[in-house]
Amino acid sequence: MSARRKEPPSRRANRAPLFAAIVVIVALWPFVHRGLVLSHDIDPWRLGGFAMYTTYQRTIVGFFEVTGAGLRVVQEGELPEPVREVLTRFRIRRSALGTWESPDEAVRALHAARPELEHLVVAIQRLWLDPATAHIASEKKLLPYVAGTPLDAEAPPGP
Amino acid sequence: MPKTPHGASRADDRTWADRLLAVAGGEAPDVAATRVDDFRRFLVLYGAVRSWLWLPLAPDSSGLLAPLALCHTVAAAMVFVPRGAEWAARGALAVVLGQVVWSFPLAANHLYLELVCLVLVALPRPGDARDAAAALSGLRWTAALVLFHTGLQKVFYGAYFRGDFLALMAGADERFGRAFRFVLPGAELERLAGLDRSRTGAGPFRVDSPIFVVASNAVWIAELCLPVLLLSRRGRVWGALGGVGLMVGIQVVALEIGFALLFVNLLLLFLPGRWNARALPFTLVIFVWALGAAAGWLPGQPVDWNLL
Repeated sequence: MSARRKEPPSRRANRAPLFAAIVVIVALWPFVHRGLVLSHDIDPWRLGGFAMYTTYQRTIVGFFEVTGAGLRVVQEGELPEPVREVLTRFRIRRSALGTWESPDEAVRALHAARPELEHLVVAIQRLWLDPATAHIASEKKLLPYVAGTPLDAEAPPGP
Repeated sequence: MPKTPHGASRADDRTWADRLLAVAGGEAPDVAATRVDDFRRFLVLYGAVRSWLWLPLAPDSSGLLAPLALCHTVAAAMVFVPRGAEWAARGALAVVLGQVVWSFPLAANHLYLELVCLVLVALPRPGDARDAAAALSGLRWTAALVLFHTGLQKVFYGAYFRGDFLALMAGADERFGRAFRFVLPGAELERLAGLDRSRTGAGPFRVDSPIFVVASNAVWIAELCLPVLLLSRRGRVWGALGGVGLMVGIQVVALEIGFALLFVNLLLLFLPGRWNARALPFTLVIFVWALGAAAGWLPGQPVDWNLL
């Protein structure tokens, strides 16, 4: 044994609890992760839950203007580049973080760039592989905004 | 005073942590320290190569990523210096922590695994063989737990029992389609590829192939059973060899070289002898090839190998 490998003096604190705590975190986190998938729709493949290649999940986000004739897609290609970046960032983060990621910032940026779009709806559709049927299942949420501010009640899912 | 396998004092004054770590221990502390040194060298070198491979993917962030890659490279050089190894791991830990924050929430699971491993190899105090033994136990526990959780998560989501997820991937991902063309008829692969996964009601992602369903179930069963072998003294070697076999099988279907290199090196920690040190030259060849390919000097695309 080299000099570097000599046993430590007995007065040195035992660091075993630190190492063991890391093991405990690695053991427990995937259960918390599973809970967050169920409660907040986070992406099973992300955030260190080791659930990659377990299932398919996809989140699709659309921004709509409310008109007398119904919902009309906001033409994002016509928005300034910084606003498009905010919307893209929201899509990425919503897909990974689920309901933890609120669309408020994205809608505020959209409303600031296009104040005439007073009534907006953010449509968020989550698709997943349903093992009971082996088909793609989905759930849609419509989040209404007026002048960049969220309405309290969530709108009922549309068709 | 007699020592437990990971170096703590005898059973009567062991803490809960000592008992937990002893499950995956077994080596004399100085042997464990050598094993941890070998793994630490691999880990910091692996991270440094990965850091450089990140650069072309995010040229807009090179102002942050390039200095991080440089720091990682310095750490990779330091990790081979006897008195600098633990500090090299601490430097690499800071770099990877920065990369996790930068890539959050899209950081890959193997980046988190790399982070956990770095914490474990950075914690030992220089020259403290008892700490090194605890680190070796922690690394082994981590490998067993990650493998177990990958299997358990497949049970939770239920998409492996009848092969649904692999059927979806066979149609969605060229790598999977290539691997499964031996067990699925061409027409079935074509049908799966033609299904629109972004449309509600698309499907069925299910195939009439007993071999395919058996293979699908074999994956999660192996992932749940191998950790039990890994954590038993008698089955440890078989568990490690089975785990390496599983990794090779996964590479045939889903090329994930980054995760595979890291995980195989974790599994090698269960084998008697310095297998991490023996494997390092082969790993270096892959690293050099990946860097050469990223620079355009050698054939291949590291992005396609998922080495990042």
